[in-house]
Amino acid sequence: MNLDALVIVLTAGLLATACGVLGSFLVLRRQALMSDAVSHAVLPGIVLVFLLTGSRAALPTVLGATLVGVACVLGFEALRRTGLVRADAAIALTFPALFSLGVIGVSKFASGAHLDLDTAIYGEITFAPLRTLAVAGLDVPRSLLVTGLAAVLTLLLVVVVLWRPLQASTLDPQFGEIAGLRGQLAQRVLLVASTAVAVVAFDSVGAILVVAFFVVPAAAAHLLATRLATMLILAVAVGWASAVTGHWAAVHYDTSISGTIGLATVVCFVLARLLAPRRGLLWRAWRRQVGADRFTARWYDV
Amino acid sequence: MPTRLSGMIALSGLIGAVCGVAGALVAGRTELPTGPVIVLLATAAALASILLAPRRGILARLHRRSALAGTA
Repeated sequence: MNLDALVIVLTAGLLATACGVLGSFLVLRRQALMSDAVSHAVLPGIVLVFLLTGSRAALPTVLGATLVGVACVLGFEALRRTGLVRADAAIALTFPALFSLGVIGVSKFASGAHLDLDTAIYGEITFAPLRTLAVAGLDVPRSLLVTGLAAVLTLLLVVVVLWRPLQASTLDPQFGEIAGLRGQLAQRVLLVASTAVAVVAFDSVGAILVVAFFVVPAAAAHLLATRLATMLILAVAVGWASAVTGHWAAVHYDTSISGTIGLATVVCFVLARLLAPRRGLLWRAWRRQVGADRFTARWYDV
Repeated sequence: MPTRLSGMIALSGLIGAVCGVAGALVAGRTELPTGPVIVLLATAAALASILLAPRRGILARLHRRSALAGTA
C-alpha cells in the first residue's frame, strides 16, 4: 500500500470513528437522517459568507455552513419538543426551507459567481492526499488532520464527558431527567457536535460518504449488539472495515473511492441483517429448523 | 389540525395545491425561482398550523394553561 492509499484509508477510518460514535446515538434516537438534512441546510450559510466576504475560502465557508447547520438542528429540536410533530417530520420541515432560502440567495445575489454546494464545500476523498497543510515543517494532508481532530474530540466528548447523560437520555429519557442527568442538554450538544463533524467532513470527503458513515455502520451495529458500548465499538469497526475493503475494491476495479466505501458499508449492513446472532434472518431460519428437528426427533422417534 | 385521517388527507392536498399555485404566482411576479418559493410558502403554512391549530396548537395550549391558572 503506498502513502496516498494509506492517507485515504486513514482519513475514511478516522471519519468513520467520529461518525460511528455520534451516528449510533442518532440511530437509536431515530434521527439518523439528520446528517443528510444538514448536507442541504448549510447552503444559506455559504451564500451569506460569500455575500459578506466575497470569497469562497475554505475556513469562513465551513464556519458559516456550520452556523446554519447548528441553527437547523436547534430548530428541528425545538419543533420536535413541541410534541406536535415527530422527529422525522421535524427534520423534513427545517432543511427544505433552509435549502430554498439558499437557492433564492444564489439566484438573487450570486448568479454571476459559480456558487453551489458541490464547489463550495463538497470535497472528494480521492484528492485527500493532494491538499496539504504545513505543520511543523511537514506537509500533512488537511483532510487527515481535520478528520483525526474530529475523531479525537468526538471520542472525548461522547465517551468521557457526556457518556452517562447521553446513555440515560437515549435509552430511557424519563429516567435521564429524573436522575438529574440533563438529558436535554446532552441531546443538544450531541446534535451540535454531529453538525460540526458533518460539515467539516463534507469539506474533506464529500457528502454521500458522510451520510453513509453516520447511518449505515450504526444501523448494522444495532443489529449485532445488545449493549450500547458494544454497539459503538461495532459501528466504528464496521466503518473501518468498509474503509479498507471499499478502498481496495475501488482501486482493484478502478471506480469511485467514496462510492465504493459507501457501498461497502451497505454490504456490511446486509451481512449483519442476514447473519446477526438472534436477530439475523438466516440465524432465525436456522434456529427454527433446529427447533423443528428436535420436535420431530422427540415426538416421532426418528 | 383535523382529527380524522380522511380530513387530514383532503386538507394536506388542499394546502399543497394552494401553496403550489400561490408560490408559482408570487415567483412569477418577483422573478424568484419557483420551487424554493413554493417550499417556503408550504413551510410557513406548516409552522402557522403548529402555532395556531385549534386545541393542539402552541397558542391554544398557552391559552388553556393561562385559563386554568386563572380559575385556580
